[in-house]
Amino acid sequence: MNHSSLPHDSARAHVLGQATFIDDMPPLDGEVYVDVFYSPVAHGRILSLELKEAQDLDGVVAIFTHEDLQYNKWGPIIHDQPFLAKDEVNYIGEPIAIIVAESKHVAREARLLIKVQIKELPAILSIDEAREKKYFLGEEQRIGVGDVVSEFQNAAHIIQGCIEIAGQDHFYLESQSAIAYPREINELEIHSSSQHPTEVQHVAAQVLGIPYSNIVSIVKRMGGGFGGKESQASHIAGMAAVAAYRLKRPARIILEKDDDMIMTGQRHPFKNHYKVAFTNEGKITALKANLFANGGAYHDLSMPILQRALFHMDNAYFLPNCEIHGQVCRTNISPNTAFRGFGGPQAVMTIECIIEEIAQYLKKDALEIRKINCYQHDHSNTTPYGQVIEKNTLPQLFDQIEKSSDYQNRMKNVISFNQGSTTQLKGLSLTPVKFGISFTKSLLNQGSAQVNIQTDGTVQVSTGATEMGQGVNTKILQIVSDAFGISPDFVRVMPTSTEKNSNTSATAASSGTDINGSAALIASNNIKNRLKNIAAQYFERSKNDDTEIKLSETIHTDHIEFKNDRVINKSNLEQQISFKELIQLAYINRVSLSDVGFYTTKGIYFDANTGKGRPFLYYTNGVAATEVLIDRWTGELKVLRSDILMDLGRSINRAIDIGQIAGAFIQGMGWVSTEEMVYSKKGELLSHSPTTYKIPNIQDIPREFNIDLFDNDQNTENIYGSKASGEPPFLLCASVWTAVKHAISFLSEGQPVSLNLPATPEEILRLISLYS
Amino acid sequence: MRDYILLYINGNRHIIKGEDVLLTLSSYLRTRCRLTGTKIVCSEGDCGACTVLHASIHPLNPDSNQLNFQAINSCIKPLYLLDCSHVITIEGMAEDGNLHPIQEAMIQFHGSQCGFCTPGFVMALAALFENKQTITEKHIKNYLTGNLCRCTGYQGIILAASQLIKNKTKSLSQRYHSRDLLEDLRKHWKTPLLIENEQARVYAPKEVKDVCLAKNKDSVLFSSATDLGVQINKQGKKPKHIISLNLIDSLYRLEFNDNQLVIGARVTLTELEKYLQDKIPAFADFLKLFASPQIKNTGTLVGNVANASPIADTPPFLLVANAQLKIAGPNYTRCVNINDFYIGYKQIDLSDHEIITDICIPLPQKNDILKIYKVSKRKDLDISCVNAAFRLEKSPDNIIKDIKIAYGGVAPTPYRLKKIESMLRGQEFNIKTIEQVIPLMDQEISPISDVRGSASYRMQISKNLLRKFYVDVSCKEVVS
Repeated sequence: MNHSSLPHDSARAHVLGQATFIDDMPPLDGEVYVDVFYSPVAHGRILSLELKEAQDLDGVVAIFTHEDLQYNKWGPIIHDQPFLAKDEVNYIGEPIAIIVAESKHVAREARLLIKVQIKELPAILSIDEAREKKYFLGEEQRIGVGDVVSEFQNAAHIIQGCIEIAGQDHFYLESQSAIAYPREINELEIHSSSQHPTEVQHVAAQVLGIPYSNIVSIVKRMGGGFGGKESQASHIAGMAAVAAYRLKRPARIILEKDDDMIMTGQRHPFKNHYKVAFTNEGKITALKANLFANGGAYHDLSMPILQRALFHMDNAYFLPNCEIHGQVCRTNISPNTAFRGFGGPQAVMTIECIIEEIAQYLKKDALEIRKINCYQHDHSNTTPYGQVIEKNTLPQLFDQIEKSSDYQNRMKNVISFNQGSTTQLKGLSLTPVKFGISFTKSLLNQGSAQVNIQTDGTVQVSTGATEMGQGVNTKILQIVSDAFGISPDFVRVMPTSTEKNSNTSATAASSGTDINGSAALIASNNIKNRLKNIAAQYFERSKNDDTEIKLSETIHTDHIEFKNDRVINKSNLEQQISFKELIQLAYINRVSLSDVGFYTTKGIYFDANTGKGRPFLYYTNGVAATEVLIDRWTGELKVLRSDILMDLGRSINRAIDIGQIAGAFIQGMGWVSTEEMVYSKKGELLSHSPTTYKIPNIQDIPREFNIDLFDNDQNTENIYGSKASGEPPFLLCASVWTAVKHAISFLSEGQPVSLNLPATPEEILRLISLYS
Repeated sequence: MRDYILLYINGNRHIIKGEDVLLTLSSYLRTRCRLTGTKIVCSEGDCGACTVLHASIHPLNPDSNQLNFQAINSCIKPLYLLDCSHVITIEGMAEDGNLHPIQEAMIQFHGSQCGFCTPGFVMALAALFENKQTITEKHIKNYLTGNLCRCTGYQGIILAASQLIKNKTKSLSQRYHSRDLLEDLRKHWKTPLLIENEQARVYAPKEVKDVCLAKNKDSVLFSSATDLGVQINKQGKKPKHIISLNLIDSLYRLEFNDNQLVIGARVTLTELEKYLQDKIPAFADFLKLFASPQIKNTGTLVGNVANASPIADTPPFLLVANAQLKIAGPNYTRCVNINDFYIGYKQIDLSDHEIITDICIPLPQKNDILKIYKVSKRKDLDISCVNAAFRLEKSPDNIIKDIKIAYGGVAPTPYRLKKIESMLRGQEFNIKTIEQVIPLMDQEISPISDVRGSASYRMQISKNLLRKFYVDVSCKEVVS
């Protein structure tokens, strides 16, 4: 691939302050501002809703409730969530009414004037309470292989434990936002900050009771998504749609950061119980695990998130015998949702916790345990769900990073440092990731694209992918410019619009480029084949022949090459034409310069009944080694050094992929260390702004941070031999957490350290105090 | 009296009157000027997305021909506090279609992903570009401490910033500050401001006594609004009677005489940090962990003290330093030792007609040992869970002649641990002595549980900080 470190296609607009986000769109005459009145209690029955005072406030245009909707249910898979609460509220932040006013300021004041009387009901706030009361969402899920019972009977060693894993706020910088414009006769155009414009279209149409075709849903870009705008953006955008549709005025909704954090769901907290049997060498012979996810009040995407957790319980390790159960607990907090990793991180953290404890128990180096359990090339390479790991790169990744990070020497230094210090502790840990790529719901693995070449030789591409900063548009731009052999300057990726590409899947599961880039390549090749046909005929005919060229079914075109903005006859290099001239030639000969591409991922399937299948097209792998320093007096943590090695196949854009790795790792580091979702006893989120919720800042990044890509040209299943990079590096944050666990193990004298997540200073000091 | 404020934005002159002066700078930029490059995320000065450059008259350096640009948070800054100053936004960075080198570097080295935080980062880097001759990684991190990015992990941004070379580029100050502009600002600075409308009355006098005469129980004193701005945005606070200290020349005083520092109410924490580096290095270093550059560039020491938060970061040091507060009333001045200033939760010894004009800090003795600590979930740009200051005077034979210990976050006010101090006085400075007094903590302090930590964690840290202090003083272990 050319231009392998092409800057982000919006970079110039970003640095000039010209990149337009939703709230940067100029207000139109008559535009109204939308705010949300939401439940102040975690669980209760609505007795009365008093709107009068708010309605009477000067500047309030309307207040809508469930009564104003044609259909009051929504949900990305199961429609179990009221669009606006009617009789019952199930979490603090659950929308009850939509306030529409002439200004943001008035809408906010009106919100304070709405009175709701709610009879409070007992709220379930924890996984344990939900389990006790059998308050679940959906059915239990299970994956397993082999004979766990007899392996436990014959086990050399057994460890049991439990790990509590907290949630995480997405903290995208641009809060949920949308503007809806009324168009002619019951039509709407909705611009939103969403990873799933098709779902915005569908949800809005459903609550308004109008055909999908009445709505065009457009996403130019998001100021960050990370999964938080996969499903829940539709709820917010739908509110703007209701206001615009009912009032026939443009309607804008921009959530305040605090409201966004309170109203929308987060990464699922998990509480996972495990029991593991292993040999004297530390080889795992059997694993039993029960995963409990805190789903929040409604289904949202909890079921597939739990499923992905089950799929990633093995991480990089061969489990010959295992039985893994999972259940989603229903609680009275906001419905938890997709977040980079989609359940994978919570499972990976659990198995890495187990590995660390086996090492501590056997007094062995954890890397040794990891390596002997790692999936191999020609044996020990089948996952518990039956997928054979092909072209496995994990063993090589371990070998390479062990050397490049100087693991063994540094481990010696860590040990001697800890022997010599009474005030500080160091820890060092190296963890892998093997992340399955494809939506686990096979039907979602479809992508579409539309390519239009203009008569000046410039190209517009539209796909179902949405740009949230991850660089999908840049990669697609590269794919298309490469297909036509033209400069990237001549290709423009257009806003995602349901008018151009319908029935799109969410941009999620790291698959944006895989699916939509492949579709864009198909569309480009469709046009290119016609252009080749024209070019071949043009080169063959005499100069003064100006009869119309018609596409020929018999002509050979293998000798036609697109390169450096030119189209060349490889058999006769004197015959060349500029790309632009060829486009004009095609146009005057009435040959279509537009086409669509449709791509589906082949060979993936999964049978939920048997728990077996091949759910993933391939795996993205990586390893990270992290060293941490802990202040024994305060529990404060400093990440001293992290080395990351990722296998991204043949990267389409190395700089963008390195950016994904760095960003994902630091985001993960926040999850496992400083980011703490704190709730009151009544289920009210207390950490709802950056003053109280601490994502990593620039001083928190590892003092030394090395990122490298592994050389791998074997991933021919995917476009250009590349691999998806969005989510997998997030899971390498496990190394930060296990390094903390390793550090504290120097105090615990062989006792497994029951560290929970996040490892805040308070959590670290709790354990230090326990052992000293 | 003037009934308008004068503000330059990207070199363009704005005269702002009426209710508009109550807008925050970010609202004014985005809604009135349609300069939407400046982004709003948190509305509380804690993410940096709204960062712009700001240059203001410094009345005690009237000869300076260049105004110095510094980064500020535009989302919590009411316009009336920006009277007589100049603001540069992201839209003012490129010149005649040519990108500023920071912008070029951010593109080339992939400093942006989603782009929402990018304008704020570019502006924070612009402050670095304006203020430092050479650009090191340490400078980069220090100048960007107040900017959050959720996408990049900061790698691309650091890489971009470390490629910057200053030599050929004209500074923004050179580019924008014509003689006429400076004259215009200076001329307006001389006239006090009074703007009255239905929403509020904004008064910016030239003299301290005018503040005291105008001040009553309903008025709200504004210096830099780093906290009040948050209250206005988040708690819907709508002050009616606003008094701004912006135009009072005498409050910009920063002096050192008779072994005593005198710090005026308008001296920013950034100025102070720089000024104290060779005078009280322990405090200057501690200020590095205080808030963000954007906050420190406008926030003041007096503001931090007067705010009376029990977890404010500077009072523990000021308590052990025996700082004196100079207070002015309508026709008098008085001095209060800061140890007597805090009466109860958010209650201070200051009447409705008084203001704190200066803080005087006697320089610690040469042999005094001074240590200041802050424990927070995130090391930088976080509100403390517990903070503490220790000041120890030891005899050559290791006897504690005097010790002062002050904590924040463990009581309704910043708090001196006097019982423990008196137990320690006269004892040998060793771990046994320290361990003997530690159980007293349980009686002397009463931390509470909140979003930043549980009561038991706070208690544990409070005890450990005393131990840490002992270890830090007695056996200087090498920190890796």
